Amino acid sequence: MSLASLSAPETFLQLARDIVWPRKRLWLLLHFTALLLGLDYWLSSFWFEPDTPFDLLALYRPEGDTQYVAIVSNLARGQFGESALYESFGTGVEAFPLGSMALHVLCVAILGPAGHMLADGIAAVFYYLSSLSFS
Amino acid sequence: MSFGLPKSYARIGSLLTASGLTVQAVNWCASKSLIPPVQLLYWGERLPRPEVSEIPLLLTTALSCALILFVDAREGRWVWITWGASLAWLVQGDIHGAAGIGLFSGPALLVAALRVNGWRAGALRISLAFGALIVFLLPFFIQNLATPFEVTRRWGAFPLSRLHPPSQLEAEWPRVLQALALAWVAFAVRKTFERSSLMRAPWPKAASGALGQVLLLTGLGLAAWVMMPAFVIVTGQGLQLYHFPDRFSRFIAYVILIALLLISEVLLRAIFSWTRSLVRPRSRETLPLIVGVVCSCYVINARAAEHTVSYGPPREGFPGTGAYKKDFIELTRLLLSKDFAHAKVLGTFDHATMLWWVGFKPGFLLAPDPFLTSRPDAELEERFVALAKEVHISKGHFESIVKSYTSHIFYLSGAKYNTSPLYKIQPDSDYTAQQLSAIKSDYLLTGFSIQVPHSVVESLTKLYEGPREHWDHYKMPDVIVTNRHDQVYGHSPDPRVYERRLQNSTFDLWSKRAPQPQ
Repeated sequence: MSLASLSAPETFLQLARDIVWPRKRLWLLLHFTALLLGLDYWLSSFWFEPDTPFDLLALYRPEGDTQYVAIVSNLARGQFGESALYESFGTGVEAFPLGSMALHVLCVAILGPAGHMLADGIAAVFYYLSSLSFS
Repeated sequence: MSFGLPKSYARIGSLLTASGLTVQAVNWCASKSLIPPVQLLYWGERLPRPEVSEIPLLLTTALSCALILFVDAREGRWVWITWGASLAWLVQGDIHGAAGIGLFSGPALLVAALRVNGWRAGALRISLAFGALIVFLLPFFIQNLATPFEVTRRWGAFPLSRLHPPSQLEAEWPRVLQALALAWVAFAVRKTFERSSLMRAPWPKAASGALGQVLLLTGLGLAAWVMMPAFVIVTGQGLQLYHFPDRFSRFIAYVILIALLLISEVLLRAIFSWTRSLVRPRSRETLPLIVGVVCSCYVINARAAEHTVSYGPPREGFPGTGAYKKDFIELTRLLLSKDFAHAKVLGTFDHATMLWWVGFKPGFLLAPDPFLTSRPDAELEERFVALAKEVHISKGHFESIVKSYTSHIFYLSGAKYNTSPLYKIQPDSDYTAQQLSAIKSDYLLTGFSIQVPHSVVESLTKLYEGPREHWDHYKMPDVIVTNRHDQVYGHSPDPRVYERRLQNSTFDLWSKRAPQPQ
């Protein structure tokens, strides 16, 4: 490392690029490790409970409050209105803000219940990257 | 990297924070009295908060810092627009966190705009940032306009005086002071070592000065401190206020994390400076990489074992495990079979079955969780009574379950009847002396402390005893599921109308009989 490189500050754009796609490719290993952190519930479930189907694995996600899993599934089917009641099906607008569910909705729309696993992995990598950009 | 930490160092710090090892390490140091007790709280796997919402929280903070500290970020336009989009994402994912980040990043944006060359350029960039914020908030505005007040009240919203907002300023001040003192110690340590002759290697010229770093950390700590009263002053509402202490803890934890990283960076830099001939530059990067991966693999392995812990019967918001889970799999596979292809409406007091049915069958419910619907309170009450009638609950038993926490949170009213020293929905005369005493001594910011007023119990009981026409227009269940842990176990539907199709160690499943030919 030369003195010249030490004295020249990087631009934000350079830093941002290096966060997402490190110039030293070896650091991508940490992206992969973050992905594994996000998938640990799923991987351990496959190992210890191979007979549990994906829909129940999604319902048993860690830390409870499983109502969100049902809302995500309905939104992923394109149901942005009332979806739990026969008489008023499709009326109104889903009231709960969509922001933090959007990632899971997108992944479940593509992959079905297995999309929860994909979304958990992506969220862990994104958390690592945003934490890195913060620090 | 907004705070100018070395990249390899920041990478390991971020990964260890995501894996929870930072918290464990600090707790271990505190338990050995190596450092004073510190309460740290970062990421978690709960959906959607904090698993997803923590991403825009950190991103918005990082972009705010970057706009102040980096010339290229300030001069370009995309960082300003991304800031607006990121804050809009946060508002729609974690409104409590957004209150704090808004307080922090609003002034930060103004400072950044003032540092742009020319006031017109600064005004344009501020407009771009807030324009993007408004555009990306449009779905939120639409949802709010279309959502009746009854729904947000079930989530725990209640009116509060803007003139006397609740606060924990005095209680939280020591922790703010602790974090900010640490940040300023980090600043002093860095300034001391920068000038010291002990440092043989030159200090890299980061885009962010040490003073900029510590001022931003101070701003973040102060924003955390005042976010709850600021939220109440702006909105005139309380909304699950217990989330604010949680967000406060996170903000303070991030201030502490950065301060600790800054201090340890200086110490490590000093060590590397003294041992330059011993440690090759390449090893300085490879070693942290190995440490990060090995530590994270340890966490993955430890959490894998934790996920398989058996909790037994269902708890609030958690499906049961062990025998319950085995029986639940049997039940759901049967409900997915062609024998039940015709079944549309489910009646159940088992919360996990209810959520599975709506999310994965997918089907409808006679009595839904209030969180799943935007229908009025009165309709939820009628549906609850209809289900109670359908499984033949006695009047006495009905009177007891309409007072229960579980009935209200998961079937009737959500957090509508939450009480705290700040608010209760009915006047004192509608509560017993025992209830009033419990309310008075309760936690100020409690969100789910249910005390059901007399008048509500009376009106629900009256509805239960009233004519069937109140609920007869709802489609009655095609299938009914009870489990031996729920509050109505032992009751069952009319055998002339429903036949039992499954009984295992946890569940009973009834299906509506086909109509008899005349």
